[in-house]
Amino acid sequence: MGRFDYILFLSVLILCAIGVMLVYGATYNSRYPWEKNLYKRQITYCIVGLALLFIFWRLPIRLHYALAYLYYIAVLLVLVGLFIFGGEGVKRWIDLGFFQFQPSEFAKLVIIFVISRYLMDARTEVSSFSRIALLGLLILFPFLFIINQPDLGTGVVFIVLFYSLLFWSDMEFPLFLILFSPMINLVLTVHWASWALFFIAFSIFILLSRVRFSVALGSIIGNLVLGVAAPFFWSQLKDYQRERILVLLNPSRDPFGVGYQMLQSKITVGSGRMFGKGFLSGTQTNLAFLPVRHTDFIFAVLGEEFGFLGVLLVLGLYFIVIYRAFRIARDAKGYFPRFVAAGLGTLLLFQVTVNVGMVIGLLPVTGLPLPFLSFGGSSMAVFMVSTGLLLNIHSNRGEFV
Amino acid sequence: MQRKFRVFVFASILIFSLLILRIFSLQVIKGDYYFRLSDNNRIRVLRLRAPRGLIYDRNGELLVENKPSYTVSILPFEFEPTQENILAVARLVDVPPESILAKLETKRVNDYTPIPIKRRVPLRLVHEIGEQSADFPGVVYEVEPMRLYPYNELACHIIGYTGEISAPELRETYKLGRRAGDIVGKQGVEKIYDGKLRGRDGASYLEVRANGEVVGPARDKREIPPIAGADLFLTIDLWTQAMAESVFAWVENGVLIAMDPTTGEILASVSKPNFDLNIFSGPISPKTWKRLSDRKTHPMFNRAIQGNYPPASTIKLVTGAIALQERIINKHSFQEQPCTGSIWYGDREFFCWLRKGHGALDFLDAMATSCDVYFYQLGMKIGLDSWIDYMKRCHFGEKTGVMLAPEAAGFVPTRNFYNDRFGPRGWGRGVILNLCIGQGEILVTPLQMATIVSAFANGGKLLKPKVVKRLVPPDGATVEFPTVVRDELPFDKEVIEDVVEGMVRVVNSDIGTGKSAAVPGITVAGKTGTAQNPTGENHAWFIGFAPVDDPKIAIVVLLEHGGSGSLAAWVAGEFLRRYFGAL
Repeated sequence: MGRFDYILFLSVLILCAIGVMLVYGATYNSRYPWEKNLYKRQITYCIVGLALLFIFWRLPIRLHYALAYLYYIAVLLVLVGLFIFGGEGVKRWIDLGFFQFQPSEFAKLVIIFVISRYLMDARTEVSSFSRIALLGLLILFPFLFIINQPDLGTGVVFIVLFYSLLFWSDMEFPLFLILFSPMINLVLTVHWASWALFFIAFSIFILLSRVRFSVALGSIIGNLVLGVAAPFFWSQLKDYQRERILVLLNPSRDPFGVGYQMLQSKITVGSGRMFGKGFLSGTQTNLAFLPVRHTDFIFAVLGEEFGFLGVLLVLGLYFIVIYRAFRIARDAKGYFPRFVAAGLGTLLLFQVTVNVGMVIGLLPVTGLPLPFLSFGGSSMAVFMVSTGLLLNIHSNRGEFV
Repeated sequence: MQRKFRVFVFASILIFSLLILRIFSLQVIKGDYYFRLSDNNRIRVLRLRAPRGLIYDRNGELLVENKPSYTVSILPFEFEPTQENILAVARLVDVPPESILAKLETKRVNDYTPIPIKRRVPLRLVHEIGEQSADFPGVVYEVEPMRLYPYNELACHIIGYTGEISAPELRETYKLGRRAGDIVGKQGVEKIYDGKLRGRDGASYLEVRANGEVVGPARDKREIPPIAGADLFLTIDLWTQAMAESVFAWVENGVLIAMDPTTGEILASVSKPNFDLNIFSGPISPKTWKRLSDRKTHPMFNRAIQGNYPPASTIKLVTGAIALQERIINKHSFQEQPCTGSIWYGDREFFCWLRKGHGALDFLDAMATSCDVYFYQLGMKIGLDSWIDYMKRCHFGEKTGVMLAPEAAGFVPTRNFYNDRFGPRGWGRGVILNLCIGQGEILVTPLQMATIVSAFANGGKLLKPKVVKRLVPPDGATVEFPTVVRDELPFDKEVIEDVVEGMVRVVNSDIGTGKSAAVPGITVAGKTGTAQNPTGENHAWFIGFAPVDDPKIAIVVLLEHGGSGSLAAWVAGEFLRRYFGAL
């Protein structure tokens, strides 16, 4: 074997250790007895995760290239099974008795493999719309099942990975912009002025670029139609459907539920001040306000007990991991390993941003856990496997036959 | 690749800087404030109840308003449910402790949503809670707008009332955002337009000490102001409604509907017995509840839309129109058999309501006198299938679609119905004789009759009845409810004119059964009906409209056990004479 990225490995190890500490701190004197031993399970997850890390470090990356579509079919079958047999309400888990398996976590990895393989195979034709449309379709199926679970957060992860890897591919930038424009378009329809500004700038840029005139015109018309249709569809939604979306984007619409939770989360983080209250000294009364403090809101525990300095340390470690991931992507020789590394970097960056943003009240509440820190076996496994993959790609610079 | 790498690293740096800046602001700049909140003080969310939309009549007269009212609630997170605490609260608000315990369990939404324990508490109690907050940790009062109905029972079935959401209602409307403890509309437009009337509750955030003492508003959490509900303008006309109720004052069980026949707008609707809407704004005594839930009289039942009755002779409008439309007769046709008080069909004798007989009559006089023998012969010639087909095309047996619930559909029997009920050989062709004079298995609601008589008044348009004219949300984008034409009657203009001519005779000729509905100076058209009632005195009907040349109002009167249709005609006449200022 080639080189070993000790910096990446050590950063991940420290993050895992901090995670166990925080899970312990969040639950050791919980009012629910079954919560008190969760830290032991988290330690088990770390150990299993480390094993996975070493396995995926040693497995040749070629293997995942070869198996990408098989993985895809397997995950799709599980998602369909969950959809059919999952019963009413939220269906995110498969109960294996000793472990609640969360297929949407693993779907993230599989989506990275599939996009990477597809883009590698399509390398020379990556700027062909029909090829990209087919890829979009490939992602759409699992996306729809995941949205239906409902797990909007993971669904958005898919979209982010799709665009991120298109950006890393050899696609010409104007084409990338055309593909990305519907996203910007939809966001900017919140106000007619912002939308108009976007539309004019987009049109000028696309017309001046070297894109074929018919494609440019098509994309401009497409964006025009989308911009006009979006408010129309919005007005067609039923009151309660609109309400659900609005509460998601602006939790203060639900002041007693999500809104209150977010307020408590901010108080918990803020009360840590510069140096924190100290390990195990977080005020339990306050923590009890946060129902999922050991999973989605673990960062609040960090902020409270270790203060701004603790936050800086952890965010620094995350930055190192993400930076290494992108560097490994840059230095990789093969297309497939590069895309995989870039996808993993994007995944890490996105989840850290969305989770921390949620805890500090910047972003809406989504169920995305904090990598390595949040309690949970599926998430831990996925990110340990990710680290193993990054170490593998680093070790032989992604030599890929 | 270097370029792409740089883009992503730059993006990461940007994002991390943003996060760190925000955390710096939370922990270092505002850290002391949050520390205090986490240490012993806490944030309490108070619900700011949105005022429910007001309800007006068509001219803007206020029919339903709000008055502030105090509710004692428990904050689940701050309240420790020890026996001692529960007893203290029970003593304070004078509610049995078991009911408080039950509410804590069943009405809990989440830790922070106050659970209403007792509504409409006196101001004295509010002061007590305010002053002794330390004695009752977790007990607060909320201001909730409550309904006030200044005209008591006026239009009670149309307006409906409000009350705390029930478990089945909650299951049904949870998706729409209703929560345990919410006040919702229970009947009438209060129920149907609940989503528009209720507005959106706001919230304010208070910093409180551990002992319940309020420090002040929370610092970086702005108050969310409540948004008032939309106001409703009914089609009801207060003046017309009040008049209808006074005409009906002596009626025990019955219905009066006044409709604008050109728009389908209901101007007045009375269903007796009725009830005072304000009953529901206070504790209901067992005696009142017994009266309200009486299984015989059913005051809460809106007979105008929920009651199924045989239409009796009022259906002769339609039977006559079918015969005219099918060219079986013209308006001056006589029938082969003059009325001798009865007619034989098969092996059965069918009687006219007038046993001594009407003699020979043409269609117009048969309408005026409501001669059954004349119409039996029409029924034989029309035939069962054709008659049923026309009835369906007039939309009998289906709901009118008025925005009130629950609505009854009436009933039009079919061949299959008779086959199922009596066996294929168990019934004879004679059923059509009963049906065509509105007896037998056919059932209608008073509102269906109002739309039919309006259709004859307006030249054949079957309109969807309306009770709400307009919806005015607080942001001012008024919604007008348009006139909806459900269908055209399956009759020619001339046919309708002939039937109306017969209806004019009902009221305006010496032999007419509805003479007492006449209004001096105004030509009234109408039709009486006397429905046989196996369980008691006959039901009396009158349907009509006026003036004939330019219809302004259509009216339906139904008196349960009223005896004879001419009594209903007299009641309608009393109403119309007052309405047109002729009294």
